[in-house]
Amino acid sequence: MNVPVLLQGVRKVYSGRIEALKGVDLVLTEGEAVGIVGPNGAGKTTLIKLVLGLLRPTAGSVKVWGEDAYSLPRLLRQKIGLLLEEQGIYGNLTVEENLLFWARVYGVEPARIGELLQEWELKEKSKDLVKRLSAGMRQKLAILKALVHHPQLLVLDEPTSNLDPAARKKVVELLQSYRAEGKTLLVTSHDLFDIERVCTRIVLLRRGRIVVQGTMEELQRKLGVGREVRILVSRKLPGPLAAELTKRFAFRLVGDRELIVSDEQAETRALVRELVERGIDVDRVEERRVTLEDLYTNILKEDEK
Amino acid sequence: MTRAVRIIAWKEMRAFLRERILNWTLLFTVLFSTIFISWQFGSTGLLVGPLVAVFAGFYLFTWTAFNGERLNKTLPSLLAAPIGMRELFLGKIIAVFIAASPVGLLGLAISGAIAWFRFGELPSSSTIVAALVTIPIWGIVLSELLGLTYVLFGNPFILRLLMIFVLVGILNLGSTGELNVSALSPAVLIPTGILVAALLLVLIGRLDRERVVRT
Repeated sequence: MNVPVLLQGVRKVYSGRIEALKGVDLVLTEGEAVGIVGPNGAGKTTLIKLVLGLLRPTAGSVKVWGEDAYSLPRLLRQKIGLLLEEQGIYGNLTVEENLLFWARVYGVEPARIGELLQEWELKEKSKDLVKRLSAGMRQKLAILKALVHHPQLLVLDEPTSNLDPAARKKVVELLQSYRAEGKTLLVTSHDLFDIERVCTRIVLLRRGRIVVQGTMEELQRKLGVGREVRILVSRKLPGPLAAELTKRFAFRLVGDRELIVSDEQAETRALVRELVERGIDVDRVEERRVTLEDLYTNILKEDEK
Repeated sequence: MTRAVRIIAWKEMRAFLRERILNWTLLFTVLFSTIFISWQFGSTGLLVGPLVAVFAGFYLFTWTAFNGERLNKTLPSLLAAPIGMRELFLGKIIAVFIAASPVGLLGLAISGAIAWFRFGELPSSSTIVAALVTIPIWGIVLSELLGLTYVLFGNPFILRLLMIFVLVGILNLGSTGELNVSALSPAVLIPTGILVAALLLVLIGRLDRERVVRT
């Protein structure tokens, strides 16, 4: 069966000199939620636009359900929901008119619009011109526009930007429910926390290349980190003691009073015992889960070496 | 007319109705130019109204339709949707035609009324054909050309300047009585206009999406 998205050896060069993507291979299988993360200029938006058939690859191929993305048949385009950085909503139309327009473009009966507006707390604003809405409201509308036709493949560029915490939570839950329905998601975001909650696989893009990809657990394994234990001591560790402990235990010192140990229970126990025996009171010991943000920072540091 | 064309045309008409400043400017320009020239020159100014309406109306509405996509940054979303480039243009041009035509008719009606009351002259059949058929067809050509320029080059200042020169030229020719488009055989102008409009539409259908997205 054809996979929803397949990129093979994709290069994209702008104006013959700016190489945005340098040989990217990526597969999205049915029902998978893939999050693309990376710093500014990594090539995330270029990748999204290639998948949507807005750009043609300089080399390699981009297939969507087995068809060339640039010349994708209309019936397949109809199955894609998209949210770009440019939101695709009209400032001089009302909220309701925008949704009506996009529903009709995608060949959907606009019966659900009232219900959607109610659900997303936009009902009261339905007759307002979009240009008079706040940035957050516009983002909500742009998300509704992407979902109005129940797409099989959702391609979203920064879906949670400009949203207040409640709306952000709602978007994350909605995307999780989409994933649970077996729909395919391709999401980019600077908000790594959201990516971690929504996506089953994370792809780190940097300078046009995929640096690493996998599930959170796989990334943790690849980088040799799992959970961490944070030990907070009552006073500054004396220099010689700190040097000695560093030789004997695997930990890193953050500031004067904070020791971070990778989650080896025996190592943590031994270190705490040693500290107490040396007269250093331990104020707090807490487990800390390594987040995507930590991994992201680690990977970028590793990559820079 | 396909569903996609109708949807685009519907959206544009909604947007045009909200452009109050544009609508009043257009109405004022047409009223002023037709009344002024017809009052002075009678039937020689009969075509000025429809011509101004076509150039000002088609230009301003086309500008709203295409520049609106640029300002709203909606073109990438439209091009990724199940809509062809040709349908997009057709929808917009149909909306422009629907919006600009009544203004052209108004221009003709005012010019005709003034020529009749003041000079006792009625517009000839060739003038009526020119105003109702030939000029709108060429208006569509103009709209296609403007649309193409917008999607390929953004919003070039030189284009706006050129349109002002064209308008001033029409008013000038009308005021000196040299404008006599109706004398040109409709048998030549109408098929030529249709042919040019069709050729432009073929060209539009072949536009490279990436080129448009990156403009």
